[in-house]
Amino acid sequence: MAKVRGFIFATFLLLFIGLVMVFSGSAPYSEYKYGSSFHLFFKQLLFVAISIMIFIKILGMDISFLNRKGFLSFLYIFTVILLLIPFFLPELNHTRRWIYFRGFSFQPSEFAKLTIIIIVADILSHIKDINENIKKSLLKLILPLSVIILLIYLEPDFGTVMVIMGFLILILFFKGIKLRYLFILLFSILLLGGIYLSLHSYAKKRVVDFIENFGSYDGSNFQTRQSLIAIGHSGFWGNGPGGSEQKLFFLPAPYSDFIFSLICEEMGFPGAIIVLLLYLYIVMRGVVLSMKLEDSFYSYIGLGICIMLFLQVFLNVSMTLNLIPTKGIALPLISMGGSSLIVTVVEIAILCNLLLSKRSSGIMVRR
Amino acid sequence: MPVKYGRVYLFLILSMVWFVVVGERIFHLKVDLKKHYEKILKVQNSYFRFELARRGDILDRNGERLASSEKMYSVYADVKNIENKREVAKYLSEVLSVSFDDIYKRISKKKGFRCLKRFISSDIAQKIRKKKIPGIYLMGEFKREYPKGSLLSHVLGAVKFDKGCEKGLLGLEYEYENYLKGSNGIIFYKRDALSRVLKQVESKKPIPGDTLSLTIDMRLQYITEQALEMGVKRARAKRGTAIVMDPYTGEIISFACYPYFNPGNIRRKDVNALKNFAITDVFEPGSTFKVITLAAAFEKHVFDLNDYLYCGNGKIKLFNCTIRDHHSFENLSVEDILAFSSDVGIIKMALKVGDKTIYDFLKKFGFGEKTGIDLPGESRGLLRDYRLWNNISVAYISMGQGIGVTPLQMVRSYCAIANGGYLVKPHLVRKIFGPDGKVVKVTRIYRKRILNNSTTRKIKEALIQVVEKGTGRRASIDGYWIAGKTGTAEIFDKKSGKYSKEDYFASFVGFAPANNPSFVVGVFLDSPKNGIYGGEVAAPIFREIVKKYFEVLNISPDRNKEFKRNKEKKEKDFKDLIISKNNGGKDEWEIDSKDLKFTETTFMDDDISSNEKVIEFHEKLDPEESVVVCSFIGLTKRECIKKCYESGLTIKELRDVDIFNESVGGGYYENKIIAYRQDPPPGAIVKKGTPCTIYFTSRVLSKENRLTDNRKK
Repeated sequence: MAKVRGFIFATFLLLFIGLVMVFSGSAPYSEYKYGSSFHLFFKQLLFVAISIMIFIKILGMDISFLNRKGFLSFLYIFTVILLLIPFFLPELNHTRRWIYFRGFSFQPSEFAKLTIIIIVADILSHIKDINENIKKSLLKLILPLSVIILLIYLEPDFGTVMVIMGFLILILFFKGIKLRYLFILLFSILLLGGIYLSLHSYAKKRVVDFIENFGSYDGSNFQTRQSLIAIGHSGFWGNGPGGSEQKLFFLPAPYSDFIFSLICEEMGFPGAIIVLLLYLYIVMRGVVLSMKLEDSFYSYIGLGICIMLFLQVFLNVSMTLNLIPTKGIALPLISMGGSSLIVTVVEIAILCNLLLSKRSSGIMVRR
Repeated sequence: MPVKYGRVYLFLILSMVWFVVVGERIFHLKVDLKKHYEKILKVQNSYFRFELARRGDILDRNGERLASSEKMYSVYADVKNIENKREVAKYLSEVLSVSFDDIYKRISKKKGFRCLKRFISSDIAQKIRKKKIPGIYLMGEFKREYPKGSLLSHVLGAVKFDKGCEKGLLGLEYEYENYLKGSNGIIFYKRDALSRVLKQVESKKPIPGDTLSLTIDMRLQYITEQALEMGVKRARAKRGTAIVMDPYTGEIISFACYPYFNPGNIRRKDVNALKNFAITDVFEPGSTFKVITLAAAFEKHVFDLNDYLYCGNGKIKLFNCTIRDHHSFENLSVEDILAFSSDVGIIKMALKVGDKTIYDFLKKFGFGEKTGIDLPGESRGLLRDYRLWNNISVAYISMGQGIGVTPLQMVRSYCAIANGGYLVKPHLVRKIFGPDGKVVKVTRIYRKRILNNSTTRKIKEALIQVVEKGTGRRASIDGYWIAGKTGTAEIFDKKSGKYSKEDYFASFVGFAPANNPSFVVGVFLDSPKNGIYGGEVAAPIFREIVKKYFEVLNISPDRNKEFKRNKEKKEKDFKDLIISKNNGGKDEWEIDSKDLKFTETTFMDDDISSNEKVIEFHEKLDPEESVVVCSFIGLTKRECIKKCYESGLTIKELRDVDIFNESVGGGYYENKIIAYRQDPPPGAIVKKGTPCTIYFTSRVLSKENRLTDNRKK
């Protein structure tokens, strides 16, 4: 237990900070939209409670079923079905990202991230040397994933697609793929990205605006501009919890995508650094511990979870600071939204579980 | 080993680098760029509203209101918020007294923000406000009102609307814009991105503008304008101006330029009337200008009052150029040269005095320079340097042609003669009061000695003779000594390049009562058709103005009855002096200079060099019983009383003019009350025990010319 005490502490602290910030950030919007400042906060509180229960449950579970063929097939089909459901529902906010029911909504793409981690871990653990038969190996890896990625792309949720692509690149890099192949892979992804941009003029404009204003302290568009104002104007110590001025509808979504700006504004430089250090702690310790695991399947799952977590934090925080073009990516554990929260907590619970686990998945490292 | 450790560690190092970059950036934004973002934030989350400041009033010297701003309202409609348009239009048409169709047409549109009526009074505004009609708004604004209509229009000027604020356009409204405008109040609110006003952050109350207190006396202004308008119409002149100044202080008592306009309601056809040509336009003054030559001649002791000159039988030949007089004169004394306005005589004097001296005196009198009056657009006049003059320039200039002056410059130069030799600075604003009633600024009285007292006395006598027996007889008023000079100048026609034979510039400048002038009046008419001479058309206007002034100001006659009787008794003795108005024959105007009507005496004047011969124009007095009035100017009350009784005079009245005890910023105000004017004037010879009136002011004389300083020298 001592091994994962740090993870539990960091996760819970992040959840707590998230809860406070969601309350602060969502209050004006809640009041404007629902007439009560607490509406969104209570919803989030409920999800945090549920996720903590799930966390405790998973920590005591035997997770050796994860790489059983039956479970994997079920997981895969279940995920595809979940991703397909929104296409049979009316659009929400011009997208098909959510399955919604009685005021609650669920984002299947969040769940798909976990599915991909497990499936990729399973596939990679069955490949001895990836460079040996690179075409076959990559085909084996990409074919099942392409269905999921395509569905997410069609939603459209390009942010998640980007996270998954990044995850694939990093995990293959760790696996030991030859740099030549990696570059080919990177190039083809960039090519796909280019095609995507040429098809979607709004996305192209975002990227062009970003490139034109690269490094600008006034932001490349309204959203990043407001984000930079929020971070900058409050000074080193911030305005204190609840003291944000930018959350009054200047900062877009101060409770979800731009919650990091809100943290900077209210908690100042120390608050922002603490949050980043907590994430970094989880990621680095998680990576170092899981790569040394005897069981390669568990090792890939641990690495995958850490990479996924890191990528989301990296993209969200960089976007907030106008270091990359704007993209809708939530800050895991902190941003409002039940799907992302529960999935991330489940991931960390699985990470903790497999680090504690004495059992083996049966797939040992083959030297 | 499922993964390559090296690659994982590389990833970990790179993520550390990213963390450092992000941390540095956050620090940079928060610490170095804090000010920058605070500014942007303030712009985007604050909302402000102006509260208009009330423009300052303009008052005359007696506190009468000449211009003031009244709070009015405008009715606006936000069309899409109006519910029952027909009903609203009906109600508004009743209240605003605008036709129903007109209003209905404006609000029947689908959307838009439109003005229904501007400048409604606050009573009606209250009514509408109480009704609380949705979509109908009231907006406060100020309207400048001029309760006196067209009176004093050229001095007051006008305002225009500039972004909802009144802004000075002409006259004093323009010149004192910075004082009058006050400063608008502003209220800052915090707002959110949905433009909802959240709370008031800070506010600045509007500060109303300062109040100007003018030197103008509205009673006298009314008289002036009436007389001028009548005179101009009678003479069928193109335009005319009349300026009345206090010669001692330079205060302008009234200032009229006909045609007038109504500052509250300027119409298109008023465009030509807007020009204040008494200061902006330049004229050739004509004979009124002769006093300058006279002053130079007396000051340099080239001629004396009773020197005779041969006036060439009405013509003089100068360098192939013959100048003709309007009458032919043979021998005239200097006095009569002025009295009968002999061009040849004055030309001869000017030639003797010389170019350089004449030029120096022109400069001394302030020609070719702005007078410094507090009105916009003043002209310098046209004065060429004497080194550029040709042979006959001085001849022309001496008779007031070939030089350009503004009417105001002309009046000012007569002030210097009236007040005993001081050039004053004309001004219209005496004091400026702040919104709290405290004095913000007091206009200093500038004066500069340019002539000796004796010189001005001699000119005064000559000027009296102009009215008594000369060209200005139509200006005379029973019971008073009036001094003045007529002028009739040819107007140079730019088109033909010649002097016009039809258009003349007729003027009369004078002061009264001559011995202790209360005011200097200048009347100028441009192109009169019904009579062209200054003595014909301008002098009656002068007379009208002065006569009524005497009534209003209650100035008692200075030719006492006794003196009149004496005059009649000794008519034979004085026949050369006082010629009845019927007696216009020039043959009888021979003068015997030995028959003195003047008392010659020496007197001590504090502010001019002593032992100077001063001729006092008064009845003969027994030297035993008579006393020379000393100068009280610059003394305090205590000193005045002491000096007065020491010299054998009594005090009639110590009159306070412009005394205030408020402290004033700027440091130029001293709370010291000193005499600035006296009656009888210094140097006069009066009976012992004559009561004196001394006028006191706390307005400080300008530093370099302050009389108290001169006394020390």
